Amino acid sequence: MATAAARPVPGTVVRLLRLQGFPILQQLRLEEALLRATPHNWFVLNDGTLDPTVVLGVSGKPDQLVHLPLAAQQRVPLIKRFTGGGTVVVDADTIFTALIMQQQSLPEVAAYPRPVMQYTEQLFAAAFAPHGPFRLRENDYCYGERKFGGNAQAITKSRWVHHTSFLWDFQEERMALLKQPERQPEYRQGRDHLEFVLRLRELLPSRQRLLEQLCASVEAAGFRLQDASLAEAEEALAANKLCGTHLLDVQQLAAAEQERQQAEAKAAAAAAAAAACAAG
Amino acid sequence: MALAQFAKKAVAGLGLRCGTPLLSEGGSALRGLLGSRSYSLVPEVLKYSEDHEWVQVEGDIAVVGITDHAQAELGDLVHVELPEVGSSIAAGDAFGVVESVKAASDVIAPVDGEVVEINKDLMDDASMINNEPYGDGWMIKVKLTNKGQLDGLMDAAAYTSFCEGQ
Repeated sequence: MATAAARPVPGTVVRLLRLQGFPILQQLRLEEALLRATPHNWFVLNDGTLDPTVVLGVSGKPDQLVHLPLAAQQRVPLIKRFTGGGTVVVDADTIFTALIMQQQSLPEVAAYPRPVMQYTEQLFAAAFAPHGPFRLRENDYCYGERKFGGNAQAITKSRWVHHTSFLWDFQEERMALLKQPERQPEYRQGRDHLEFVLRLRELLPSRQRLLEQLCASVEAAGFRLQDASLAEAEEALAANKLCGTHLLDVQQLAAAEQERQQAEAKAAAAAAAAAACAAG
Repeated sequence: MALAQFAKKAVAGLGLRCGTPLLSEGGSALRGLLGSRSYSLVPEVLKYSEDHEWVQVEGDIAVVGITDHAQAELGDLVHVELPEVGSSIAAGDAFGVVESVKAASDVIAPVDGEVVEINKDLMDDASMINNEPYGDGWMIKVKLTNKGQLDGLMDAAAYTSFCEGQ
């Protein structure tokens, strides 16, 4: 069971990988490789991804979660990631973190979703709490009633990754790519995306300062941060056998969605005509 | 289902372990006696892995699922991915994924073998694992290729102690 005071084994090293504008598809594949194919602890920090992208969780159904014709029209890539959770649209104003941990390094935090999230809420409080009423609310990072960060996990044997997407800023028209999900947290109360999410730049004074505070929160939690290079991290890619992150064919999905809608419209018209005939 | 949950909690609260045997799909006599529900927390007849999977052996076939402890820790399951029939699994490697509370968790194979059947009902309703982890929530059936591996799994008493120590 995770507690507010859960501390790592003294001297535990976390390799810090700092990236900027790194493509989200490559970041996710790298995270999965670091989780599955290395024995080390990692903290990955990526300041934005250049191209706007929609990222779905492992069970996400594109036709139910994304306005596919709009995504196809705007040529926005769709990615299915290896972790659970919902759908996000990310871009250069999204700040990503990934904490990859060997359970033995944090023996008080069981490798299950709720203890991990209880732990990370405490971890990130160091960075966010000074600026407002920060909390993990039904598994979302929030200030008050408004969500500023999504998160998701993957757990394998005694290793886990908790990764986040913090909204420093966002473009409203990009939020229009997302449909209202069927499964929603209660506190959302049916609000649409723009009423539900919060731009961190509205509350925090400096993006650069936030990046520094996120790294500092890991150190404050008792870990010894050790800089790592991208080349070192990428060695895991060759060693990883399982890759659950992949790019979806948005054009094909949009075409299939259009065909489905046309077939439904045709069937509805035929049913209406048959009903009219029967009535006449 | 509420009664099953109450029974589980009552037994757990007393520090006891239900000894009601698991039902097999082979139409054993036990099904007639015990009905279609399993109330056990750690059924005596099963074997267990340290990754919280259970195994029921019927001849050369092993039925595999995740334990009551695992489903409770994972929370409400919303999605399951299972291997294809005909594929091989290796002990210690992931053979499937379950999703709950924003987490995708690997399900680890307790034994080597060839997948001969998967529980397709779980594709439509992953909560069956939460509700009946030892019954309708079974995940795969495997033709064993190394029966000696079963000796390396825990019995009910050892698994209970293992969980208490975690």
